[in-house]
Amino acid sequence: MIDHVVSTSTVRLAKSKSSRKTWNDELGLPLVCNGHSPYPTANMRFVRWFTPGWVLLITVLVDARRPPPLPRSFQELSSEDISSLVKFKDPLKNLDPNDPNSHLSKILIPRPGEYVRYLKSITTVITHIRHQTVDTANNTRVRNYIVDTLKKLKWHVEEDTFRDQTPYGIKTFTNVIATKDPEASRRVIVAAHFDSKYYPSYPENQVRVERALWYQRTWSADGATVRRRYRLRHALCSDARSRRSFGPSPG
Amino acid sequence: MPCALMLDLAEVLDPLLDSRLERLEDGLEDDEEVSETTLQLVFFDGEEAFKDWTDTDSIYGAR
Repeated sequence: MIDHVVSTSTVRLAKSKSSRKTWNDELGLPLVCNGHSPYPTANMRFVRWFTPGWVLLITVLVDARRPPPLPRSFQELSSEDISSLVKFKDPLKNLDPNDPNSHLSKILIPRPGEYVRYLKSITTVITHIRHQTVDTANNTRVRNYIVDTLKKLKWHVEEDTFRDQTPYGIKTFTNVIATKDPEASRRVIVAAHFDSKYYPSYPENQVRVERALWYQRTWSADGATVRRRYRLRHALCSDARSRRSFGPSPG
Repeated sequence: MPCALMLDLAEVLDPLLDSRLERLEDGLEDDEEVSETTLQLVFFDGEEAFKDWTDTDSIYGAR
């Protein structure tokens, strides 16, 4: 290959001897090949320098300078601890949107603008929509559910009510602060917001998470079925129960 | 979803925190830092903006 390049350039050199110097006499190599320098550009040279070998070496050197990881101090659990862990209620039960008694079902409720009907005249009933999600009946319901649940556990529950200016006028807000032991001087605080995003109209003002969960459930169940059927069909699954539920694999 | 998780957390940890308190009172456990630490759950209202998220139209409760 190099012979070929050199020979082509030699021909060219022979043809255009008078015009420009295209041959490096010292190195015995062409300066120009097909109008372009046959040598890598500055960037290319840079890339060539950093061959994977170099990168690896540098990585090793950098890694060697890193302090060694600290020994982990996990406590070994006694069999008593493990059995008490197993006895915990499955947390997923409280996040089951199909169970009407789960925490999630009580909290995941739509909080549209509140409909307040009043008589303008004897014959006309005007429905006035108060644009809000905080300060609505369902938002209060959610808050009360949180408060009641924690009061049942005999936690100290404080409801911090305040009013603030919003784009829809002054609204009343209520934060809930629950403390296991209000006398303790140090607290580990876990916080979240319980209000829902305000949308002025249906169906945006309905619960989105619920719909997302439904999609997720449907799709993932379907995906699992498809995958399982594939595995059965290709004899990758030897689960007798699956075979019964899906029937014998064809072929 | 996080609120439901937090309620579950409270229900699960409540008996454990009680038993820890008992151990501390009985002198079976003696860790000052631990004994002074409790769990607090905060549920904020009015986090979401009514219209578009701005400095004044957001996190009313947590501000």
